[in-house]
Amino acid sequence: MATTRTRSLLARIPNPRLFCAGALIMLAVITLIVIGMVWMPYEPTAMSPDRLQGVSAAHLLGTDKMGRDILSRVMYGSRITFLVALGTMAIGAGFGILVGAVTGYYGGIVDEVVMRVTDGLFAFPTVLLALVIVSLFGSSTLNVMWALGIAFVPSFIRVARSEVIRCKHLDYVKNARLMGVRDARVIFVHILPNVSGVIMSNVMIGFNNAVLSEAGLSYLGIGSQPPYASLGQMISEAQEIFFTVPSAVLGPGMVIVLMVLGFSLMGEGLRAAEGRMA
Amino acid sequence: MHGDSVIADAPILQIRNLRLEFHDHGHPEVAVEDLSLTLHRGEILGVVGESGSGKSMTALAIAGLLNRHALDCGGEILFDGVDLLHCGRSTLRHYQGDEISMIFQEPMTSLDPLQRIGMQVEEALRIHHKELSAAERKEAAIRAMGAAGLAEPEQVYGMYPHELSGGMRQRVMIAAATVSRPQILIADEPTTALDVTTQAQIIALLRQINAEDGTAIVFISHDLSLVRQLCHRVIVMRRGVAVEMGTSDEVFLNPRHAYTQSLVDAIPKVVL
Amino acid sequence: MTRTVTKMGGVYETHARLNGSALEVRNLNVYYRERARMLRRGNALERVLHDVSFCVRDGEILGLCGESGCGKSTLSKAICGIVREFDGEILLADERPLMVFQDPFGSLNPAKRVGWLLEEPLRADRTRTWTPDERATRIEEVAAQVEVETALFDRCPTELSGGQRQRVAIACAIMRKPRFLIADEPVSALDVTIQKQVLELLRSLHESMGLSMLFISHDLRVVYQVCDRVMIMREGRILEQGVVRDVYRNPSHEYTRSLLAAAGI
Repeated sequence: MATTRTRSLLARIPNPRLFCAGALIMLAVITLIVIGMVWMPYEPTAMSPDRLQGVSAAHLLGTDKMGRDILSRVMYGSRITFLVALGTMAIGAGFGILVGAVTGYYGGIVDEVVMRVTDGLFAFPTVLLALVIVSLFGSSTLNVMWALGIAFVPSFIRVARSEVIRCKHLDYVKNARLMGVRDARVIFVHILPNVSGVIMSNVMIGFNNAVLSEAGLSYLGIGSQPPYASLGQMISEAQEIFFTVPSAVLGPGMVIVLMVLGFSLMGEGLRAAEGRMA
Repeated sequence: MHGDSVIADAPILQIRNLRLEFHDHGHPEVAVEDLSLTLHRGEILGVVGESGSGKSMTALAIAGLLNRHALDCGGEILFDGVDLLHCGRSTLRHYQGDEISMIFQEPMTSLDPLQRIGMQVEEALRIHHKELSAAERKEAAIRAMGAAGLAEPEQVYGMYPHELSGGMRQRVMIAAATVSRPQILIADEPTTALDVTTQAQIIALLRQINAEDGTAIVFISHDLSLVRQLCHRVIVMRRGVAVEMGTSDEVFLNPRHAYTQSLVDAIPKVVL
Repeated sequence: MTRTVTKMGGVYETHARLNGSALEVRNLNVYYRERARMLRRGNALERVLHDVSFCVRDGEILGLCGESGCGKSTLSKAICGIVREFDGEILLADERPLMVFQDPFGSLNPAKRVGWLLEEPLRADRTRTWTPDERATRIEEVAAQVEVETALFDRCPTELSGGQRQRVAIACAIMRKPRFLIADEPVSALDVTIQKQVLELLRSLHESMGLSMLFISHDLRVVYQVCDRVMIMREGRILEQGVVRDVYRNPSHEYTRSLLAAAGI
């Protein structure tokens, strides 16, 4: 039973091959993070006299200018980056989908106002909006998460709203309403599961943007504070030693690339190919 | 009736052992199996079947509109001595829209909403008859539109699709398909999306085009009573196989195959 | 008895005391308002139904025939209580009617399984609560009536054929034992052989349950097969109504004659 169920779920994914490739990459990244939670070669903040060492058996990715093990720091940094992206999506997608679905379903003046506000928010670049919020409330990992989350809300309002509007005139939704199904149930039980493909695909892409924005912000020095570092900060710190210890930049860079690639592929896999029914 | 004289005429299109097989996601699916038929000059041939019978696939194959990458095909479709199933793209394009043209079920989506009607009706001439001047093209388009039963074709010429009703759009489609006086017109459920009274007018129009220009028509439909009204000969298809073939009267009055019989029985009878 | 009165004076009443009819519509006018722009309330009203009066008697199938844009769907919406801007009276002997729609691909939620879909009308019933046991028995009963095998309960609608889907849709519509339902072109999207089976099913439900129906169709042959009486509608008006055979034999209106001719009757 369980296996047929998963199989039919997989069969409903428009492009399972792309999705699985992305999922495999993400699995690798998550394995790295999970291992890092249990065991790391060195304490990521522990300094040692072996500075600026290249790749070796003792330090698989070498050490930075304070003698800290880069592999351990990458493991720790990916955890921060990943969690920030996850939190950002939870806030942005959670709130955005809720508001978008409800206003799209009811329409009317509230919908109109919400749309104009999101249009206004859209006018700001995401990173700029996040910068404003962070500079108001202070720079910490948690604040960056909130800032990015709020900055991502409008795009999810848009997606959820348009999908719900598309669905609310379909016969099965009309049917449910005629039966006397309550509005909240119509929205969340009858409509949303049918648009989950489109929304999930957007969540995956949003996840990418979150990873990149977080990296961008921390490259600018906003976010988690030293001596802990997210991937973006590590790259920012390591750029001066790029030619001495290239792995100091390439290590965290690789992980960012893998995360983005993994989620892109998963999102692409969930998106129905042009001209084909989902 | 008229059937006999028509069949004596030369065949214009011959399909021999046509086999179409799709491999979607690695599952081969046979859409048409071992189909052979002959279309004669000036004949209206009905292809009847329910969904999944392969009738639309056959139509698309004749029109050369199938995606050859997702398809295994066997047999041949001979027109003018050329195998349309295996010929090169440029050869195919030479016939498409000029000698063989097609109209579809949905008049709402088969016209480009951003182009004026006139442009779309002239399209086939612009591609296949470059020797014509703009004025000649316009004249031909307006003539075709008039023949397709559009009142005031000069005005419709400058309009956009959204300004027309469903029935008028289907007339525009027919005008566009017949402007180059094709030898074969493939009509894939051309009246299904239309109201009954409009439907009757479109059927009359197809009959008229056939009678006046001698255009051979392949009329694909699920509606048996329509096919019977219009077609000289009929092919009944089921799951990719032609189960019965014959003149309209033969097929509808004395169906030999049990499936044809069930189709005939399914038409609601009205006894007044 | 629940009675709603609209701003325009239209009366919509369910559980009304009607003398031998399931539905009575009296002097119904339905208007469409031009979509209100922000801040500016347009008062442009367009009348789409003109003085429509008819009734569906208990245990009767009333056919409604007309071409696209004649007001068929507006009328069915009004009867379902979705339309706000109308005057006249819509009186129903029972609760708000459910509908069986044309497109069996669109009328069932593709994300759910058949069993869940069949249960939803019972869960959503606001007049009474159904215990899980009652639901299970009722679902089995109806599934047997519409000939949907229990093996299908675990499937998604996408895995069913058109005919099976329409059976499920009909099962959903009759789940709460209604006295009246609206069938909006229920067989137009089906293959002829399937069409025949579904029509037979509707007819048998009508006989076994005493179900009355408003049967909307553009196909006069189908109407002849299932309906007792028929109304011909054009441009928001009812041109004529009567017993199917009488109307077909002696159409009093030129338009009816052209419809009959087009259908080859």
